[in-house]
Amino acid sequence: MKKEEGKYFYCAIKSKEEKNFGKIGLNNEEVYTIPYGDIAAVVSDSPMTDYELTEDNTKKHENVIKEIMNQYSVVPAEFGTTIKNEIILKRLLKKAYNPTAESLKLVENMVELGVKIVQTDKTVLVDDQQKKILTSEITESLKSKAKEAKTCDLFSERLVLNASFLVNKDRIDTFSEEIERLKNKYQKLKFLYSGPWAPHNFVYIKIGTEGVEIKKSGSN
Amino acid sequence: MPFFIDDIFLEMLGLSVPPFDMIWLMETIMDYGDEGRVKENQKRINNELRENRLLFELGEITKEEYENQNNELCHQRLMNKRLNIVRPSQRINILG
Repeated sequence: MKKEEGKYFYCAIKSKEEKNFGKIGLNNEEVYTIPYGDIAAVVSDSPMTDYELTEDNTKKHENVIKEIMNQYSVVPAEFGTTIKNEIILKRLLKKAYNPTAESLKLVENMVELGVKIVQTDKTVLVDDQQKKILTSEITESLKSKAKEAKTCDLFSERLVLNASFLVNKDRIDTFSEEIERLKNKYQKLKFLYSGPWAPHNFVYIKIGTEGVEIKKSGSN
Repeated sequence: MPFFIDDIFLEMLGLSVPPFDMIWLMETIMDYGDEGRVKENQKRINNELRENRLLFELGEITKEEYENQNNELCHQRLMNKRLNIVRPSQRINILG
């Protein structure tokens, strides 16, 4: 069978070496690094296709990143990023070397933790002002245990808070303890706590028509 | 571009073309409107997909209910994406 020239791009890591992570990629392809200087792209061979944003595909994408996160800090690439061939990928890495290296520094030893707070039948938070006070109180107390925080889209009317926190791996326990304390304090609210994830909400690589972009928290 | 040649030709003959301009204007506005609707729909579907997952993670719907709704919404998203690909503003290029 003809080897695919396209490269599905999962994330960037700090590494000079060519490394193989096994057949854990999309379409069960081998995941490996393509280094440029002291950074490397983690990729698998792939046809140039528009990957559907299905649960299976996103899980596979995220599982690869999680596996890499066991050994490295990562700057994730946007889901579905496929590059025509290795030569183009290396050109992109060259072009985006400085922002990628900077971003890798920002997320070194960091993970993202997600917190969603949901109203239950028992909760009555009709007042917007009441909601605002509550969310800012919770966000501030969690922010104190994190390096950065980002509030995300309230995609459901049931959601009171949807936020992500960039937390040092060594402080995950402290952050989790704070979640427990808040859970006890606000027993009528339901907390959904997830992670550790790659820091998608704080930094990610986006490749578009204008080349490669590194999106950092707060930048559009 | 036959449309513009026709307009110029009619103008040269001294005929008024405002109705044609209006059609162009309406089409353009409606195209933008359609694009906006496609994006809005995409956002709505994505939100519903996430809300469905949220309800499942909260244990408020069963796995079967979650999967049925998820399949339905994924189908809607695909259809909406196709609508985006064949939107009227691009059809003009094919005919041109």
